[in-house]
Amino acid sequence: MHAVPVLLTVGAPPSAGLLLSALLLATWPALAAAEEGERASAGAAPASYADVSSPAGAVAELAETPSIDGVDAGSADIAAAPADSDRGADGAEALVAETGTADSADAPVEETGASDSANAPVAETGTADGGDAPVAEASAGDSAAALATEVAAADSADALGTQNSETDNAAALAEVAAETDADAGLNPPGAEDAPEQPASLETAIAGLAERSFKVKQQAADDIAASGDERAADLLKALLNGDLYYRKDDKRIVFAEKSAAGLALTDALTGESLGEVGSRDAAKITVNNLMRNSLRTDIATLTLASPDPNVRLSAALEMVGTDDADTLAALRAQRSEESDGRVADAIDLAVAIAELKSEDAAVRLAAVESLRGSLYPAARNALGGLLASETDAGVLAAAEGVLADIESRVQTYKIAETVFFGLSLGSVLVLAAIGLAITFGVMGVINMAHGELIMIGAYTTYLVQLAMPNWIDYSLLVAIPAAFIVSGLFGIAIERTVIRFLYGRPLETLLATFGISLILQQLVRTTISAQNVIVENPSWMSGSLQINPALSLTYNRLYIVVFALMVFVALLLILKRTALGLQVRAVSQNRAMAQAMGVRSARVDALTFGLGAGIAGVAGVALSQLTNVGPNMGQAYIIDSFMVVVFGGVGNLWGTLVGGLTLGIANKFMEPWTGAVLAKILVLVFIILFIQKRPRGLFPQRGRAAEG
Amino acid sequence: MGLLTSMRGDTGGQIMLAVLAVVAVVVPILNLAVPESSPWHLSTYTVTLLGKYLTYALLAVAVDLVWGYLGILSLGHGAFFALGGYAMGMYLMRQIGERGVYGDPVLPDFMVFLDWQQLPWFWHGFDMFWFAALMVVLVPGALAFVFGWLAFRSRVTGVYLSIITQALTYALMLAFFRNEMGFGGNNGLTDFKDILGFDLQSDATRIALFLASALALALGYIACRGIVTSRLGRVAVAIRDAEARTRFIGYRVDRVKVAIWTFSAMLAGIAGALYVPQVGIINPGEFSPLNSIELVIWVAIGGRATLYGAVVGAVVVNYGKTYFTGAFPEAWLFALGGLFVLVTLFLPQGIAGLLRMLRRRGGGTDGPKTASGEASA
Amino acid sequence: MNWSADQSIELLRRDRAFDFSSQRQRWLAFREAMRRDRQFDFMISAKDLELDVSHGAILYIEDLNVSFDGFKAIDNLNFYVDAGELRCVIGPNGAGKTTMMDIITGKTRPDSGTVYFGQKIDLLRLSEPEIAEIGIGRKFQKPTVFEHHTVFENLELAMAGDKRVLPTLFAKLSGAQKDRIDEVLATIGLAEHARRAAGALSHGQKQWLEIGMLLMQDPHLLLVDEPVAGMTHQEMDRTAELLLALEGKHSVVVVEHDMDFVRSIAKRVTVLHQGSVLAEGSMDEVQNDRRVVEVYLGE
Repeated sequence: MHAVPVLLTVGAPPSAGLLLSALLLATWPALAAAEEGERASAGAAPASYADVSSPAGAVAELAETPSIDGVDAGSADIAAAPADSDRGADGAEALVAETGTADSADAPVEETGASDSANAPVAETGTADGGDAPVAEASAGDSAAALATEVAAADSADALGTQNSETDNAAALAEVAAETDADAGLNPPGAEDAPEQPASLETAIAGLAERSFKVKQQAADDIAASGDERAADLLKALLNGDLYYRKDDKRIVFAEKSAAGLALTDALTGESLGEVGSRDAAKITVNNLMRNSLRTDIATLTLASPDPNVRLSAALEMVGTDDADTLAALRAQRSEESDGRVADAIDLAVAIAELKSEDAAVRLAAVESLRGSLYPAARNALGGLLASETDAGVLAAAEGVLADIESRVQTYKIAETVFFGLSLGSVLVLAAIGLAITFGVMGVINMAHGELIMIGAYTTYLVQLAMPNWIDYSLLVAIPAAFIVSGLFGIAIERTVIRFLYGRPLETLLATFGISLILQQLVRTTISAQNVIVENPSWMSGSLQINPALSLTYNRLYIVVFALMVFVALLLILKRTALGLQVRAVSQNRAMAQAMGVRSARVDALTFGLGAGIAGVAGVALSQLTNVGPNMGQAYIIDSFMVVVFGGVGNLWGTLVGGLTLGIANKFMEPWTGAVLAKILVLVFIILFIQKRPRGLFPQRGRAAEG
Repeated sequence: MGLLTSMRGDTGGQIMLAVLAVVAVVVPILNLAVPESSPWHLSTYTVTLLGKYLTYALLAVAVDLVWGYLGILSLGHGAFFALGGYAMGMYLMRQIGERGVYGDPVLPDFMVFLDWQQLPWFWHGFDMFWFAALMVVLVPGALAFVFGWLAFRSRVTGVYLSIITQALTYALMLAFFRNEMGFGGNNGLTDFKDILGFDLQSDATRIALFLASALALALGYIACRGIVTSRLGRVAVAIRDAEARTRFIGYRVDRVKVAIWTFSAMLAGIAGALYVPQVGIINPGEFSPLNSIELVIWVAIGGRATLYGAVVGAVVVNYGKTYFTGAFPEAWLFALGGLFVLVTLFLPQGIAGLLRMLRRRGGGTDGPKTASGEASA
Repeated sequence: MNWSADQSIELLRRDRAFDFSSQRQRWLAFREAMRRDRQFDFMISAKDLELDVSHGAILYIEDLNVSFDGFKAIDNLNFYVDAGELRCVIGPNGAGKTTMMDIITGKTRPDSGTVYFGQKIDLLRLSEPEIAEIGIGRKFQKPTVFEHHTVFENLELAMAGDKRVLPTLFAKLSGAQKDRIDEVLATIGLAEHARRAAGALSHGQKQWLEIGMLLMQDPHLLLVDEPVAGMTHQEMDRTAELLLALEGKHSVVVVEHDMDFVRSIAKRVTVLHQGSVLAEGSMDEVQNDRRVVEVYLGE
């Protein structure tokens, strides 16, 4: 119900902490704006137009209601992220909430064009390279908004429903609380009370079935303190809302949705309890305050894990805490920590806590230790410090460190944009390079090129249908298959139509356009008019985390590498093989090549087949990034022509440089202009560029090129 | 350059204009005078459909002028058509006034919906018909002039030119899809009520629009014919066939191209302006590159460099489209695609060329002065 | 007054525009220099200048250099043509003949050097149509006539006159113009083909039509690239007659490979080799030049 589902929609790995930072990175500008200190930014968002804004407004209202009622400090952080940490809210939680509200509030203001569902065709083109930033952001924002709504709703329900009973049980609860508090104090984790531990876990867990949050809180704390190895799982289930109690005997169970209602498993023994109706068991609800402490508890428990990744996420969960026990645990772990990333994260958590120290010297040291940290939490903490700090020395140091961090983050941001640009550029290169052959080498305007790409993508789809259990390896089969299928289509087109039209480029344009219509309709009739789903192999998902400010998603990374491989392969074919030699000979002087015994008809067919085959291979790559449907080819044909014309006809290097340049230019403009306007500007730029250099970046020169 | 003398020797054109004149007389009678119960009654729907074909025909004539006679294969003429349409759409939008869903006296519905407070500057003046009518020609004309001036001066020709015209219309399509542009975004402009005070839904208005389209087509045709039979027209064909040679004998090729290109764009704009009130909507889809390519095939099918062939092609293909999309929706793209391929391969002269060939086979003499009309490549 | 006159004259001397022999010409030169429209040379379009051949030469090419991708097509070329002269240019393939033509007609821009038409007109500053307008006509190696136009229309299009857009749109053929076209038709021997499409003409006829189109432009200088390539002997003789008839009225530069043809028309011959002038003189002189023999035999 919190970070994890939100982040999964962004498509990053299931490590909540890392994803959290990825999300924060993606929404950094919004976050920064929110940080200016408007706590009620969501409420202040103009309830302007269209559907987009209304959820945001609703969220804002919902989120604000409980905090006005003064039910629980924890719920307020949904409406307004406290940049001043004086409420002692868990840092991570605060950030999630902040992101959620900031995003949904911003959505109508900044991203209307891209996220407005009315603009579907544009959105589609805008996301040509898949997972485009604005769209990803929008969906992140949406789910964040949804999440916020849910949380707020749950909280207000809690508030209304529990108020009475709470007062009834107040006395008893106070007692229990005092007792368990004492217990917790006396039994720190790892204390030598081994025989009692199972009992304490079992005792503790019973408290969860109570309605009072205070009792439940206490029970959770007890579970955490029990030191039992099942504790972490129990608390996680509690946090995720998978923990139920059976209504008849108040037994604590794990529940999963099943046909009959719920499938129950005993929480302590793991014994299956069969299925019950959904009314026979009740979810153990938690409030925000509990969530915060649960997360800290889980983190503390997992900090001892042997898996460094688990430790890392645990440490990141604890960033922002100022709980003395947690900090002690962190420091203890730091001394024996072997993994550098985990050590960094722990340092971060400790330093952020120390920023709140009474002692200016400690604060100064903490500020210094944050120097260079790329975690967003470090920036937030320093930003918070700037607002509250009174000591001039610390203030100056904090400003210096913050500026230093900002400039490093900026650098990585640029690196990331370049990477995005390269991946978009690689897509363009892949789509255009087959065209560079048919257009550049043969002088044929192949408007069906996009459809050959589409055929490649559909080949991938069919290959996956044929080997449903081997999705991870399907691409390895699909690449040669698509090359052959599209290549054969290409040869067929060349033999039946294009060979009658050599030397009449405008006629080839019209005829191949007709072919493109036929191919589209063919796919619609034989397969489906709807988009089909091509699955991503598992090794395509996830991302390469370079540092907290920069992560490269694997699918983008692979596309860059793949485009370069295809390019090099094509270059080698043209430069090093007999076919390549013949192709170049025919393209330079057909009559002479024929006189030398080159069978030009065969060469034409093979060249066109080669260009078409490459288009098919591009289709395989695109099937991993974008929707596969009958219209997908049309989205690429104009871009492809632009790349070829921009780079210079008849020059593969021109295509490469042209494609990458346009990709990067596009991505650099996007933050300023939005995806659609960036694309328009690129088109206008190329139109103007052609006026200046009609033969592209790398023109062929000399007398032969004229005329 | 007597305009009507330009029709001399243009048998196809004369027939076409005669047919047009007959249709312009017969259609209103069948629609207005013949009672609905009669089998001879022509429904208003059909009248509107015919009117739409006529605007397409005018657009096709505009394309044939630059493609057939000047050798510029424009894959972006749909943009000029759409711009003319938008100019007219803006006028019609302003005419709605308080009758819109939101009842705002000034702002069109979509602006109220977008929560705009005032009319964007470029919407001013469109409440006046004369202003809108001026913009119908000026906006496409200005765009064509600037684009042509840039492109032709730097000698962008052939395929390159075709591709950047396509990029032009594509860029415009993306731009008009944006709500921020102030042209109604994805939905475009629609829900029109009346034109010059006449109810757009009434039969009489529909007939008037149909007649206006027929008149525009006739005048546009004669004007184009006037150009192609003038010395300028011969220069245009000279440019098409041997551009460098034309430059060497002293013609400013770029200026000739810009002039004819701009004129053609204005014609396309007029066609668009007549199209919009008849179909009742204009949206960014009109800018789609597919539309522009499709209209090139009308010209190719009718027969390049004949002008009347463009009219025939536009009507025939669009009738086919109406028929196919009704009877066999699946087959339409196959048919259209097949047409593209077959015409380029087997009928490079189009229907007009086929007719000429048949007439010659039938023992007729050489059509008079067809040389400049028989363009290939 | 004197110093400024001298200064102006100094300016003009660079243009080789005037003969300063007499006091009167000195005065004329000064007046010319003081004319308001001539004051700033860069401000006026060169095509408005009148052709001045008072030194006898109509074309000056000096220190010309062009290279394509490192290949020197023209290498420090100096070449002059007199008014009214019929000059033949010969040379092996790649000698730079066509490139030289391209530069004169504005199709190719040189890397360095000067090209003057008469003493005053800097051709390097003019565009192709402007060059055509001031009176330089060119016949291409490959005959390019407007195939879809009739022979008559071809000549009509080439006719000297106002070639701007609107005048062209409303142009009407006057009686005098018709007579002029008929006259040229007779000169090139295509009178009975006037209504035929140019594309239907034979190769030789197309060449003559092209020369006819040049004549219609009434140019001062005709550049004729390989006029007899692919012609029969009769056609060649006819072409020779045609070109000889032009001599005196027009300056003509003929680039040709066919030695017999060159001998039949040429008084002065220039041999180009590797982008510069190898030899110049009468046909006999050139043929006996040792270097020329070497170049031709060495191939």
